[in-house]
Formats: sequence, C-alpha cells, structure tokens
Amino acid sequence: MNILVRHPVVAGALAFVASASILVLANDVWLMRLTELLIWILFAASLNFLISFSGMVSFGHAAYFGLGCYGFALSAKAGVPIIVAVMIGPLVATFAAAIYGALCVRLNKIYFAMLTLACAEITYSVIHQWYDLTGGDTGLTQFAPPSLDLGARGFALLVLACCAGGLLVIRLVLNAPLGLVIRSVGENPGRAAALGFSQRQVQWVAFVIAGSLAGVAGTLYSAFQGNAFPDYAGMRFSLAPLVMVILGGLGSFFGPVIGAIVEKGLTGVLSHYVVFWELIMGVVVITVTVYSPHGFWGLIKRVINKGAPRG
Amino acid sequence: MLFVQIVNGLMEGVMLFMVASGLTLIFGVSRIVNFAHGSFFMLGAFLTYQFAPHILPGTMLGFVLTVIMAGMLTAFVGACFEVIVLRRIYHAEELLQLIVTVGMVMIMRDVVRVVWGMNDLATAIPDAMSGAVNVDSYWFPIYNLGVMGIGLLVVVVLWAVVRFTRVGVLLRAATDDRGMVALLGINQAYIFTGVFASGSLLAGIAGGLAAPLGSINFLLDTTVITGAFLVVVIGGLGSLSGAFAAALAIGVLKAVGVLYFPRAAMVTAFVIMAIVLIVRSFKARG
Amino acid sequence: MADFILSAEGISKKYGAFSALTNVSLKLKSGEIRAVIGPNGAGKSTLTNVLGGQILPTAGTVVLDGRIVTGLAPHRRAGLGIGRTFQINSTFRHMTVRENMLAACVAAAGTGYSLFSSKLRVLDSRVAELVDEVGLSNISESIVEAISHGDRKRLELGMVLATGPRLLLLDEPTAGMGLNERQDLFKLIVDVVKKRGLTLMFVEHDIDIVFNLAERITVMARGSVLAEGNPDEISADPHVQEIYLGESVAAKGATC
Repeated sequence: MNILVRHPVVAGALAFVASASILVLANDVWLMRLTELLIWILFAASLNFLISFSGMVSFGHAAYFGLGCYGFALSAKAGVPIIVAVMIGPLVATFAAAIYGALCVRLNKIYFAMLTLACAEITYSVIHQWYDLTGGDTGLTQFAPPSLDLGARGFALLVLACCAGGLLVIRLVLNAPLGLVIRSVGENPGRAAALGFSQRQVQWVAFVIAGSLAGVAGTLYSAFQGNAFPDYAGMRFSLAPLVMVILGGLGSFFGPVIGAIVEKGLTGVLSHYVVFWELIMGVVVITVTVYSPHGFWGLIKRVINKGAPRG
Repeated sequence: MLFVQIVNGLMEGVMLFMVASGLTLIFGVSRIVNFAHGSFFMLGAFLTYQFAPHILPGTMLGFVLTVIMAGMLTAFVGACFEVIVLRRIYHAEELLQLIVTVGMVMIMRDVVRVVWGMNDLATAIPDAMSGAVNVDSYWFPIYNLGVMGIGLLVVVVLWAVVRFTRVGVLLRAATDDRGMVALLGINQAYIFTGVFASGSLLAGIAGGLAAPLGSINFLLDTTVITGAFLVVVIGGLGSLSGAFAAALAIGVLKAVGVLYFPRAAMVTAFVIMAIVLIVRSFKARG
Repeated sequence: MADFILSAEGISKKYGAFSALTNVSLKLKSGEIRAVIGPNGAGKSTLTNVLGGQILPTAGTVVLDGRIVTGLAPHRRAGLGIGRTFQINSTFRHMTVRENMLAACVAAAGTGYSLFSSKLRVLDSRVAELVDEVGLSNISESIVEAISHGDRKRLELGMVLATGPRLLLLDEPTAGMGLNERQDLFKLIVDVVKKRGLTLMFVEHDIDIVFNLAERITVMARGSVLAEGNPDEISADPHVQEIYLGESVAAKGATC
C-alpha cells in the first residue's frame, strides 16, 4: 500500500493495466456496464475539478455533456467522417464552455450556480425546441455505427483510454503552476487577487477545462448509447454527477471515481432487488452529506492510513 | 386571442408565484436553496388526486378542503424534513445543504413513483367549478378564474402576514439579519421550521390547485423547480414582491410568447434570467 | 515631490447615506514607515482597501508612482508593487505552508498559467528561503488550518514579500496575537522593511508599538484624517489627546 501512495504514477499505471485486463476478460453484460461506468467517472471527475479544486459549484454541467452528445451526433448525421465527428463533439462543448464560462465566472457562489443553471436550461430548451435540427423530444438515432465499428470490447478500451486520459489531464493540471493557482483562487479569491492572480481569468480557464472534459464524456455517451436526447443536457444529468461527487467525497482527486462506482454499483444492485431503490439512494446521499462530507473516498483513506502508519 | 392569452398568462403567473414565494421565503430566512420545493408541489398534486374522490366529491367546499388537506400534509412532510435533516447542516457549506435537498428530491420521487406509478394521472375539475364564463365574446373557464382568485387571496394573505403581524416582523428581521432574531429572544429553530413548513404548504396548495389543470406525473418535480428558480432569481433571491412581479411577467411572457414565437418562449425566459444575473454582477463591484 | 510612492487625494467612500471616508488625503514617502491609528469605525480598513483596490472610492484619486490607479483591480495593483495583508487572516487554509508560499512565488514569477510542473521546481529554493525568513521552516509541510494564528500571520507576511512589493499595506498585522508574539512579528516586519528598503503603511491598535516603530502617524476618526505627524507631534497634539488617545499617551509623551 505504501508504495502505491508514494508513487502515484506507478499506482495509476497499475490501475490502468488492471482496468484494461478486466475489460478484456469481461463478458458482454459487464462490458456494457463498465463502459457506461467509465463515462460517468470522466463526467463526474470533470465536475469535481470545478467544485473541489476551483471552488465553483455548477448546477448546469450537463450543458457541456449534452453539447458533446449533439455535436458528435449532428456532425455524424451530416456525413462528417466518424473520426472527425468525435472531435467535433468535445470542441462544441469547449466552445460553449468558453462563452458561458466568461459570463458565469463574473458571479460568486449561489449566483454563479444559478447562472450555470440558466445556461444549461437555455441549451436544453434550444435543443428541445429546434425540431428541424435536433428532432426535439424524439432525439437522434442511427447517426453512427454501433460502438463506432470498434466492437463492444474495442469501444470499451477506447472509453477507458479517454477516461484515463481525462483523469491524467486533471492530475497534470493540478500538479502544474496552473493547478496551484486554480486551487488558490478556489480557496480564497481575495487573497489570490492580492497576490496578483486574476480571479475571473483563472476561473474561466478552469471552467473551460471542465466543460471540454464533460464534452468528451458526452460524445462517448452518445456513441455508446447510439442516441442523443435533449435530456442529456437537462437538469437530471446535471444533478447525477453532483451526487457522485458528493458520494465520493469533496476535495479529493479520486473522490469522483469512487463516487461514480458507488452510485452506479448501488443503483444497479438495489434496483435489482428492491422497488424503493431510489429512495434508499436518497437516504444514502443525505446520510453521507450530513455525517461524512468527505464521502466514501474519505472512509477508504482513513482505512488505508490506519493500515500503513505514516512516517 | 392576445387578451385571452394575457389573462391565461396572469393566471399562470399567480400559480408560479405561489410556488416561488415558498422558495424565496425559505431562502430569505435560512439561505437554503431548496431543490425539493418542486417535489413538494408534486406531492400536493398527487395528494389532491388521492383525496378528491373521498371528500365531498364535485363540490366547491370538498375541493377546497381537499387542497387544504393536501397542503397541510405537504407542510408536515416539509417540517419533518427540516427537523430531521436540514437542521443538522445549517452551518455547513452551501453545496452540502443543496445536496441534501437533492437527496430529498430522490426520496420523494421514488415515493410518488412507487405509490402512484409512472403513468400520467388526472383529477377532474369539481362540477361546481366547471364551465366557462363569457367576457367580451371570449370564454374563460371558471376553474381557471377561481384558481387565480384563490391565488390572489393567498398573495394578499401572505402580504398582510409579512406586513402587519408579529410573525411578519420576525420574518423580515430574519431575512435581513439572522443575528437579529437571536437578539429578539426567539428560538431560531422554531422560525426555521415554521418558515420551511409554510413554504412547503404554499408549494403543496399550488400543486393541489394545479392538479385538475394538467396531467399529474412523477416528472413534475424538476419542471416545477426550474420554473420556480426562474421566478425567484429574476425577482431577486429572498424578495417576495420581486417574485410576484417576476412571476406575473413570466406567466404573461410564456402565454403570449406561445402565440408569436412558440418555440422560443422558454429560452427567452431563461435568457432573461441570465441577463438579470449578469447585469447584477456588473453592479456588484463598486 | 516625485519621491511620494503613493498619494491619495480627496478620497471619499459612501455606502448609501453613510460616509465611511470623507475627503481623506494621504501621501507616503518612499521608504517611510507609516502607522494609521484611530478608534473603531474610523475608516482605517476602508482606506487600506481603497489603496489596495479592494474597494472603489466614491470620489478621489489614488496615484502610485505618478500613475493614477484609482480604478485598477487588486491583482493589477499587486503587479505594480502594492503588497497587502488583511485584517482577518487571509491565507489558503487547506494547503500547506509551503504550497501557500509557492502560490505567492508563482504569482511573482508570472508563471501562473503554465502547465509545466518544472516551473514549480525552479521556485523551490526561493520558497524555502522565504519560509525560513519568516521563521516557519520547521512547519513548512503543515496544513495552514492546523498552525497557530501567529504563524498564519507570519505566513501571510512572507507571501506578500514573495510578490516583491515596494509598498506594504498591512491591516492589523498582529490582530489577535499575544503581546510577545506581537512584538516578535513587528520586529520581523521592520527588519524586513529596512533590509529591502520597502515603504510600509500599517493599521494598528497597540499604541506602544505604533509610537515605537512608526516614523509618521496618521490619526483617523469618523472617516477623516484628524492629524498627521511624527510620534512627538502626534502625542503633543491636543485634539488627538482629547478625542482619541486620552491621558496615557500624553503622559508617555512627557516622559520621552
């Protein structure tokens, strides 16, 4: 355990190889489940970057997820080669995050959250109402070959690569001066400004990074499901990663990974056995929030630290 | 047509205000952004559906009693939520408070889903209030006018309570400065519970009144909460009069918008919300 | 007159009907040590905030090195050489002492948007030096939340120094500290200021410290400047004695 804690690169590489082997060995049902889980991990991690490190709580992160979906789906439908279409999805999301972000970072706390919500609702409404382009409620289907012609396993490995890549990007940013500055602004904007950092600029950069990663997740989700619905930009898709971030634990890098696993795992198991599964999830969310703000990852860390005395 | 739509818009505005007033009241006093507010509305609607056939069905009195009962039960659920959960995290970060209410959304949605199922339900307009009146060659459903009347009555009562009663004084004091209430020697916990219950009551009654107007389903929670946020933000978080003006404006905008730019009505409302927030941010510095 | 590093002319700040500052003027000579004193609500913090750019004044101009900076945002002023600490301790509480200092050094180096962690490693020795200078090298890996109040104040000072300021604005740098700690910190501040040839303006309640350290003193009351002068002049000023300082300082002035 000690080695893993001290050498995150080794730990990360091991985790990647382990995940890849699981994907290679998994049966079809598990392959689907894990692929979806990986997409959610990436989505939740992008939101966590915003909340835990940049100090910005977004109620509308689904906007960039949804635009990733539609950017990909619409361009693929228009006949753009798939390899290009998968790039267009994240680009559209990044572009939107750059515009919305420039407005949102002007506000703080609850007002920031409300503006992100408004931006997401605008996006949702436009997608929902623009039938001619998006098909409205009926959504889009059959715009790309299933699993992008890579086969279920190949696609799963692509998703794993993207998810790992996304996490790596977040880690690298956090380790770089930019990450230090983002954390500084997130923790104490006034102090950071007195040191000479522009709060708005820094927050904008963080917002765009988070938005583009959510766009990658959205594109993958759309390719995975083979469809795109306005709901993907709606409030439910904004709240879902928020719940994952909380379950995993605020303020940590691995929180959203654990959070997504716990959320998807619990939901899967519970919905299999009981009717009241969402109610139980609600109770779990409330209990974790009230009694353990550091979430499940916080619990795991406590166990690890007990096992390996610090020196 | 325009006239009809303006009247319809005002009616929707009154409904919107009933929902939003509870949300803004709760925020004003406890600084909690209650995501579960739409769920309380939904609960009120389902309870009305449940009770309506049993309490003097078809009569005006029966319907009023039904809605009041649904509202009271909703208020009770809200009070329990406040006492059992919210009270423990008033001092925590905003995000955590918010997430707790999201947890409540999940719980309520599931209760509704399991008890009443996933299909759209409908409850009839009471016979005494069915039909329509003719005004200047336009027909207006009596029920809609009645709802508007009841809504306006609620507005007046709310205004009078806040303006003239001791409770209202406390409420305004608590909204301006939370420390004030402690100075006045009032147990803050009672105020918070009371406000949360009243807010839920308003949401429940609004849900009950809205029940006969459209389909009742388990997706109501998020549709209603987004509309309520819209009103509360445009009106200014915590401001009742602002919420009233915003609710009427948005009701009319939506109803009239349907005539002229049917597809852009919702987008326009949220664009206005965004503009209000951005303009406020420019005023904030200096 | 070009040797004024900072001059503020006719500064007023109104909040609705309430005037926090009324027509305040203040000039700081390069290299001087200036104290601002006054009873609570005199407008000392508001003035510091106007000079630092945290608050926009309703009227008046702030000139830094001959350049008008009245409307300039705080981070831009920091770039021009104003370094400041706050009345309420202001550090990054969930980061370590070293990370706090590193953030300040990154700000000074202007590499804040860099994606290369190597840009952080080149700052290591400078960070260590600064942490040492403010006497915190033994707790450099502690989370700020866990260190003492006095140490946080030291850290804050170190972070301001890291940005290489020419003018320090310190708002009650020793608020909430014990007497001994307080004197130690002020000794450190003065040493640093002298060694680097900085200009210092500080807000302080402890009259003994003010009269021992400051070269000039500005006395404020109810949003205006009541008097300004060197410690002897101030302690001799009858208005100041009467309205603010009381007899203890008059007695002290007599013994000097």
